[in-house]
Order: sequence, then C-alpha cells, then structure tokens
Amino acid sequence: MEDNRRNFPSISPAAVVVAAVFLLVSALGTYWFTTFVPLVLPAQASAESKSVDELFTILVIIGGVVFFLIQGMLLISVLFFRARGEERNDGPTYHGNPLLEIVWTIIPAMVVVFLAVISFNVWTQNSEPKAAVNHVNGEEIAIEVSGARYAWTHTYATGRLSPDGVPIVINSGDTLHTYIGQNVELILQTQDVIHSYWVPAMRVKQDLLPGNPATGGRPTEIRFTPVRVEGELYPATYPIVCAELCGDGHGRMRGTVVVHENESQFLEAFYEPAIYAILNPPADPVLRGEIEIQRYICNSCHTLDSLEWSSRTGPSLNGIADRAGERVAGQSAEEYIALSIWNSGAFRVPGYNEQMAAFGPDVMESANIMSPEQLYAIVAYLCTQGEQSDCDQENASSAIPEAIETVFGMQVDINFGQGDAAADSADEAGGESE
Amino acid sequence: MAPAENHEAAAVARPALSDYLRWSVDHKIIGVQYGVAAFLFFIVGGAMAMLIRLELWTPALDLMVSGSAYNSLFTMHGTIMIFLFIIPMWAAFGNFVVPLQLGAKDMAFPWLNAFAFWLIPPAAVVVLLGYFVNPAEAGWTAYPPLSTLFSGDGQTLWALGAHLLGISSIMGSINFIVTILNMRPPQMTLWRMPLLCWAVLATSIIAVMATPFLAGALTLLLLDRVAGTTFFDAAGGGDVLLWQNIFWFYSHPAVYIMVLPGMGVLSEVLSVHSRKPVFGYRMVGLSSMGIAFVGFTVWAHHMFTSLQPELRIPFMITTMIIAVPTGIKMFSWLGTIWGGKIRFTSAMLFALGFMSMFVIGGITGVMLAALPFDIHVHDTYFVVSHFHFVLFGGSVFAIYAALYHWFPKITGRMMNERLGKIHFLFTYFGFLFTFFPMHIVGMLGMPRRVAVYVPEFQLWNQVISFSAFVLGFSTFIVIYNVIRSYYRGPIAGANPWRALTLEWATTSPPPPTNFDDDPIPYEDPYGYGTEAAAVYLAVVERAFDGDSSGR
Amino acid sequence: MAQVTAQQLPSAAHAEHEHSHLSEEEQNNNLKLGVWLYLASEIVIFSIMIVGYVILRINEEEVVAQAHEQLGVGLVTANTFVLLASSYFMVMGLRAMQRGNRAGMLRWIGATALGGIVFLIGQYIEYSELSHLGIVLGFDAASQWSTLGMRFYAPTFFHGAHVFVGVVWALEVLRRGAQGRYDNNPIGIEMFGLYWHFVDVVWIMLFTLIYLV
Repeated sequence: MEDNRRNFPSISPAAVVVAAVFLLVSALGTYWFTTFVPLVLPAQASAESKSVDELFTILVIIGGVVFFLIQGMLLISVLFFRARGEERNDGPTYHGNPLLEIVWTIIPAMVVVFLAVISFNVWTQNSEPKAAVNHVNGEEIAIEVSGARYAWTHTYATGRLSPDGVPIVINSGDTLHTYIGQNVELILQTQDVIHSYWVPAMRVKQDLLPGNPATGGRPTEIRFTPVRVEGELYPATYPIVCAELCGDGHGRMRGTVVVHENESQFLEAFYEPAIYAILNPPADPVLRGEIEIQRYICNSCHTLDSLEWSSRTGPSLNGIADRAGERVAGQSAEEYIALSIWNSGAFRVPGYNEQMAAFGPDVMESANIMSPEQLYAIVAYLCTQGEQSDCDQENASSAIPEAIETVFGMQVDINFGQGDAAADSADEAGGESE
Repeated sequence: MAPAENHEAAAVARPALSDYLRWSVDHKIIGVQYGVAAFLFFIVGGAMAMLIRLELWTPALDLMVSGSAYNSLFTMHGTIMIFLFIIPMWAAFGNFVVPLQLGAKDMAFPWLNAFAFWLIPPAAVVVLLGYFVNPAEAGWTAYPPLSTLFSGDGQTLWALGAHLLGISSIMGSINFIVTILNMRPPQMTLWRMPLLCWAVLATSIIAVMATPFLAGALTLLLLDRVAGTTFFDAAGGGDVLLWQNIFWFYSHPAVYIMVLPGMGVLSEVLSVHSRKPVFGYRMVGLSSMGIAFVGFTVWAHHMFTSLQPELRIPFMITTMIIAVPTGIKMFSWLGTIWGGKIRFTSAMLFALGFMSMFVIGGITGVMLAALPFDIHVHDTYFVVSHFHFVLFGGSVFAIYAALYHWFPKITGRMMNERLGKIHFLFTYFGFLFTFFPMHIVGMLGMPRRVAVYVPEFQLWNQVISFSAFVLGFSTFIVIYNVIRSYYRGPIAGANPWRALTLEWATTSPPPPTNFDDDPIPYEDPYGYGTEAAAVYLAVVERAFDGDSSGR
Repeated sequence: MAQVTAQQLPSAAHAEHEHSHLSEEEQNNNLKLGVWLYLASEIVIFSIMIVGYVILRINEEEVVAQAHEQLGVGLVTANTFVLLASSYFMVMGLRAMQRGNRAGMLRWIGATALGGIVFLIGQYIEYSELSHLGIVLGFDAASQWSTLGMRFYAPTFFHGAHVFVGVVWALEVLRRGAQGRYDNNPIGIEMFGLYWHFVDVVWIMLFTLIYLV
C-alpha cells in the first residue's frame, strides 16, 4: 500500500506522450473554438456588440481550456486507467493531496475574479449614459417604445408642432429608424405584461416592466450606438425580438431596426417624409384610414386580408362591415366599430379571451393615442371591409361623426387635408370631409 | 413471475409488487414508490418535450392550435420535470440509500415519510387537471402579471399543486436532516459518512430554507388570483419584481436541490467503479455545503434584464464565485478516477457522461454570469441549453448512474449491462446533439419559449429535434432493461460492486429492518486498495452470499 | 478489521415493521429537531408577509398613521396578553406533566386552548371592525386605505390560522393526555409547546410592527 502512495500519480511513458499531445490539442482546439465566435453571433452592428464579443472571446478561450483540460483528463483516464480483463485489483489508496486541492481552489477563484473584473469594465462602459442621445437635426428627441401583446410601437416626439399647435409625434410602428453613430436611448414601457426588448445585432436587451399607470408607469431604458458593418448595404435592417414570454403571440412579437447610413439619409428616407405625412394626410377618409390603421398594433392580433394581416389572437376583421351592425341591437355599425376600438372592454367576440388594448385621445400609452380624426378615418376604412357594408354609406360623412360623438361624448371637427386638428378644440358639427 | 436465470443462489425474498401500491412506512418501499412515480412523470414530461420538438420542426405554428397551447405545453414540461421528476427522484434514492448507508433501520419519521410521498399523487392530479382546464401558460416561472391578470384557472390549480409539492418536499427534507444528524450508529461519525449522505444533507438544508419562499410566493400569487389582492399588480401598489425576487430566491437554490444529490451519486459511483478512494473526501463534502451557502446569494442573476442596472454587479460576482466549489468537485472526481482501475459498468459510463456533459453546463454557467454577455443571451436558447446541460447532462445522467448502481440492491437482481451500454450511447449522443446546437441558435437570435421562429433557424432546429427523438427513444431501452432485469436479471448478491459503504453490508434487497443490529461501518467509506478493505469485503461476501458467489 | 459479524445476517421473515428499534430518548430527540426545522421553515413564510407589510409601512406612512388613529390598540393589546398568558399556561401544563400531575396538565393545557380561542374571537371582532372602516383584503382603487388591507390581513390571518391549528392541536393533546399517553413521556406536549411559543413570538413581532411602530 505504501508503495502505491509514493508512486502516485503513476504515469507510464505513454501517458507522457499523450499529455504532450493533449496540451497541443488543447491549445489548437481552443484556438479553433475562437474561430467560431463570429459565426455563432449576429453581425456586430453596435459599438456595444464589439466589446461584448471580445468578452465572449475571452470566455471561449478560458472555457476552451477548461473544456479540453477536463475532457482530456477524462479521456486519458478512460484509456489508461481501465481494469483489464477480469482484473480484480483495486486502485492505489490515495486519499488526496492538500496542495493540489488548494491549487484547484485558488486558480479557478483567480480566474473568476479576473472574469468579474473584465465583465464589470465592459458593463460600465456599455451601460453608461451617453452625452448626446437621439440626435436629430442637432436636437435630442425622445424615442419611446411601447410593448403590447404582441407588437412593438416606436414613437418619436419630434419637438415640432403642427400649424394648430399639436405636437407632432411620429409613430413608426414596429420599426425603429436610426443611423450609424446615433447614440440611441429608448424609453421602454409595457402596456400589459412583461416583455423584453432584444436587438440581437446590437447585443442589448432590457425588460419592460408593468408599473402603475397613475404614477407614470415604470419606464426602463436601453442604449446602443449603431456602427458600420463591413459589407452591409445601407439602410441595413436587423430584427427586434421579444425575449420574455408574454402569451399566445410571443413568438411573432418582432420588429425591425433600420440603420441608415448617416443622418441625412435618415432624415430623407424616414424622418421628414413621416412628418410630412402627418401634416398632409390624404383628404379621402378611407385612404387616410388605410394609412392610420397601420400605425397601430392592430395587425398583431387581427387578420385582414387586404393588408395581409394574419394573426388570430383577436377576431378577424375580414368582412367586419357586414357584421358590425348586427352585433348589438340598436347600435349602428359605425358606433360598434368606433366603440370597440376606444372602449375595448365593451364587447368580447365569443371565443376570444384576451382583452384588446384601448385606443383613443385620452389613453395613457403614447403609442395608443388616437385622435378623433384618426378614429374617423379608421372607422371609414373598416366600413369598406365587406361585401354589403352595414355602414350608412350614403350618409357616411355624418353617420361616423355622430358615432364618434356617441363614443367620445364630444363633437368632432372632421377637417381632413388641413392638418391634424386638436381633439377638443372643435365645436362645429363635423361632416365636411369631402 | 418468470423463473430466475440464476438458480444457484437463492434469491432473498423481496416485497411483492402489490406492496408498492399500498401505504407503507418502510423507507425502502417508499423509495421505490417515489422512484416509479417520478419515472412515470419523466415519461409524461418527456412526451411533452417530444411534442415541443415536433412543433419546432418547422418555423410556423402547425402542430399546435395556438401559441397558447404551445406555451402551456412547455409550462407543464418544466413543472413536471422539476417538481414531479427530478426532486421526487432524488427523494427516491435518498430514501432508499441514505438510511442504509448510515446504518439506520429507517428514516427518523417513517409515517411523515410516507405522508410526504402520498402528497405527490394528489398534487400531480391538481397540476395535471390544470392542464386540461384553461391551462397555465406562463412558464414554470409563472411571472406576473402574465400569471395573474392574464391567465385562466389552470394557473390557480398549477399554483395549488406546486404548493402541495413544496410542502411534500419540506417534509421529506426535514426527515432527511433529522435522519442524517440523529440516526447514525455510534461508529458512523460525520466524517465517515458517505458523500451521498453529505450531499443529501446539504440538499435538505437548502430545501428546508428555500422551499418556504416558494410557498410564500405561491400564497401571495394565489391571493392575487382569487382574493383580489395586488401584491404583484403595479396598478394596485404591488410590484412584479417582488415575485421574481422571491421565486428565484427559491428556484435558484432549487437548481442545487436538483443537482447536489447527483454530485453525491457521482462520488459514490466513481469511487466504487474505479476502485479508488474519493480524492479529497472532506473538500468534496464541504464543497456541497459551500454550494448550498453561496447558492442563496446568486438568485438575481435570473433577473439581469429586469433588475436595476446597479444591482446587477454584485450578483454577477457571487454567481461567478459559485463556480469555485463546483470546480473543486469536478477536479476531485478527476483525481478519483485518475490512476484507478476503472470498470466500464453502465453506472460508471453514466457517471463519466455526467462529468463530460456537466462541465459544459459549468462553462456556459460562467459565461452567463458574465453580465454583458448574459444580456445578449438572456432568455434565449443559450439558456435553455445551459440548464439542460446542468439538469439533464447533470441530474438525469446521475439518476441513470444511480439506477444502474443501486438497482441490484433495490431488487436483488443485476441490470443487463449490454443494454445499459446501448442505453448510454443513445442517451449521450442524443443529448449532446439535442442541446449543444441550442447554444448556437440562442446566440444567433432565437429566444426561448417560442412556437414560431424565423426560417433561417430551421436547419438547426431540425438537427435538434431529430436528436431529441433519438434521446426520447433511449428511454425505452432503459424501461425495457428495468422490467426485464426485475424478472430475469442475474441474482445480485449482497455486494455485487464490492463496495465499502454500508448499504452493501446487507442482503439485496435488504430485510425490512435493514440490519439486525447496529452495523459497524468500515473505517473509511472509500478506502479501496488496502488489505483491510479486502478482508472486510471478503467477510461481507461470506456473511451474506456464502461461498457460492464467485463474482 | 472484520467488523461484519453474524449478527448482520438478514432475518428472512418480513417482520411487522414496528419502530421499537429507536429508544424513547432517540425518538424524542428526533421529534424536537424535526419541529425546530419545521418552525425554521415557517419563519421564512412569515418573513415574506411581514416584509410585505414593512414595505407599505415605509411607503405609505400616512395611511398607516391614519389607521392607527382610527383603530386604537385596546382590543389587540388585550388579545396579546391573552396569547402571552396562554404561553405561560402552556409552560405550566408541561411542568405539571413532568411532575406527573396529569390533572394539572389537563387544566393548564385546557386554559391554553381557551386562550387561543379567545384570541381568535378577538381577531374576528377586530376584522369585522376593520371591514366596517372599509379595510378589505382585495385591492380597491377608490379606497383611502391603499393596500393596507392585503398587507395587514395576509400576515395576521396567516398567524390566526396558526393559532387555530394550535387550538386543534391543544385539544388533541388534551384527548391524548386524558388517556394517559403523556404520563411517561411528555414529548407530545413539549412539541406542541414549541409550536405554541413560536406562534406567540410571531405575534409579538406582528403586534410590535403593525400596532406599535
């Protein structure tokens, strides 16, 4: 027995050769692992992604060494320390080696301290608020992201006013527009459950937490700065993904980041046209409605073939105009449609359990604010969705404002083509939309 | 019953199958009851996993009627695997083996032991009932408000069932602690205890300290759901992060509840089947306690994307620190087999498979602790892969190792080694190719818990699904092996592995009182390779198997 | 080294599984440790609910002050003394049994159970007063009490439920005691005592936190 103790670890000459091969394989293998790093990660589209990926490379190197060390020792043990044939011998009675045990406690401890320090550095560098954020035309604007089951809505508070003094807010739906070098800072707020805003190409992710709407919710922030990706054609697009389980449509709760090449391209291709469109909506309410309805997250739950929507969380909007008049006795189709958008809890189509978010002039979530004019246009558009619409086609120009008056309890000035009128500034009875 | 193949040695009488269906206070019967019940739930949860993988064969939603149906499926998969499979499965081996290893005649509270087991079937009925009425679809983590304001009655039943299972787990753990601390014969000092007992002790301490947090959280959740309170509803002065904090304060330690006993099994199996003492016995025992302790300080790394940014750093550091005691175990096991005389039994193969797979889970664990990288892969398939490497590559491999190792003691018959090896190969490669590619899809941008995904991930998902089906198939091999060996396996004898711990110093299966008198443990539970150990083993052999045993 | 002896040969028969192999003292030790562990786990659940109240106490000082003003602590102080006294009766009951005085034990434990019942009645009266004030369990956005209801009722009701279990347990102790089952080994009374003292200590914490601070 004593001999056994002295001879331990009993390594044959063959094992020495194996050990040398093993070291070589570990070094090469670890190097080989690192070559996969760019392949298993999305494009490095933000400044943050570069430092995160460097950290990941270090983790792969250390992990690779540990991997080869342990798998290699296992392999060597399996090859060299097997009982041959019917061998009944026991191994050496070797109970341990305090020095070795201290070594394999201290070295991993030092490694994790090292990793903690470099991770800390990367983290502070990436999460630090930047000096100039959301720069557009030399000004900082606020960009808010609203998460609702199951869609993202991005709104840009442009800081400009319409001729009537209404602040212009661009609602770009599920698409975030930015440009190379812009320090993006998004304010995230959920309308219902927890969501998580993840842009894989930017390596950023942040949960949206339900807060008390009465005290301004519980906004969270996310920051990143897009950078140029070699070989990319601009404007480049990257997916936005919801990473926190939020219900039925979690998997399709996605969006797009559009990175423009520079600020002028951003202004030209997105920002200025969007403002122009708000200031100059089409005069025809149906045409305008078709545009307006796509600003909101209706497509995340409803099916509507004419717009190629196919979600099934909520009832289908195909042929809605044929049914809307029959849903509630004594209620016109216009009223029904308007009311179900504004007071979404009022009706529940049998078979659908989820309550729709509310849209109107006075809702909390900026992404869901809908002026009476917008509602008018959307109702007018939905009234065209059907074979023989229940809507009062002849008197549409008066029936819809009446319905909206019933809904909002206020008279509405429908004044298309002249800019967005403030909701409650109107006194005249509307109807002169043609 | 089919006749035994081996007629030479008279089989020791074993309990009739009907004994296992009745209330019994014998820890060995209860152990088997736990084990069989847990394995049945493993099959149910596994079938659900197969359905999940079938749905993910294509990027579109085609198998399930809705995203919700998919959500409730993986909710049940997680709940069943954690609460009804792994945790009860360790109660099974703990129950059967720990009193025997200690030299005790039963658990400290036999009646409580039986009661804790019999809570499981009704709890399972409640949980499964929830699946059929408006099922829970908030994941096993049940984050409010999804689990409060936005789900149906199934969520209430889920919470009730989980509550019952938590109570069962607390009762079982109190029993283990008292048994291990109080029921040892005089010669079985703490530092002579086999490492499985150390691991079960550490596990039980965690369970008694942590499970009440789950109970508290579930109580508040139930109040929110049925009594109109708003503990987790921000609109009513509550806080959604309160749930996450309490839940993870239980559920992170619960990971160690699920894996520490497996580590104990590893120490036993590696030492016995490589005929060499556990390297650094005391450090291995103490590292269990270290993991138990540090395990309570890391919970918020599950909340890296929701926690206030400045609070994330401390949890990153504690999470990294926990790699150290885990590393001690890994290196100690390597030291154990190094220079040994390894027997490639099925139990040993699964133990080696554990080491080989668990190390990957450990490496990705450190990667996930690195906050900036975690931000990218949080809630993605990378995480799914990581915890399956820990809970399947770790716990389930250890469960299989324990099954092959202790089956002879439990039933008195050996399992078929050839089938065991085939089972190992299918499991090992099925597992590896199921879960390793998940790291990659996760990093590339696939979130977890989705029924639909972008088409560019389809090839990866098909590789994963195919391997998952292979992994699923491997389960049939072990089921067949267990049933066949129960009836036709060769008679095992008292100590087929020639192990030094006390559970082998009695017949297989042991008599109802385990030992006729207080047994005297061999001075060193892992002291293989000495003359004295050989003499001890020869005496055990003579005492229980007579001269006919020529193994 | 050959420590395995013939004593360890298995008994072939599946003997009836009575637990005679543990001495009384061993069983008592096990039971005590078990109860302590159980109480340790209870502490955690109470802590969660107490912390829930403390959060409210910190965030909504005015609401709490208002509630204090309207409530008064007369009834609940009396209730606290009843519970404290019942703990004392408990101690006396155990001591009586240890001295072999079964009748004394029955009287004292009976008084303990009575104390618990009085406490529960007091709690019921208090709850109905509170509900008259509009302090209810469910959240009501229109109520001036904010979330006081749920944060108050959750720990106190949970405690009340423990008192109720304690009363049932006390009655069971009385039943068994009357049959003479504790004459030689009062461990059953001792375990009940541990539980009852625990319930008492939790109440003192709740009382201090909710009514005094």
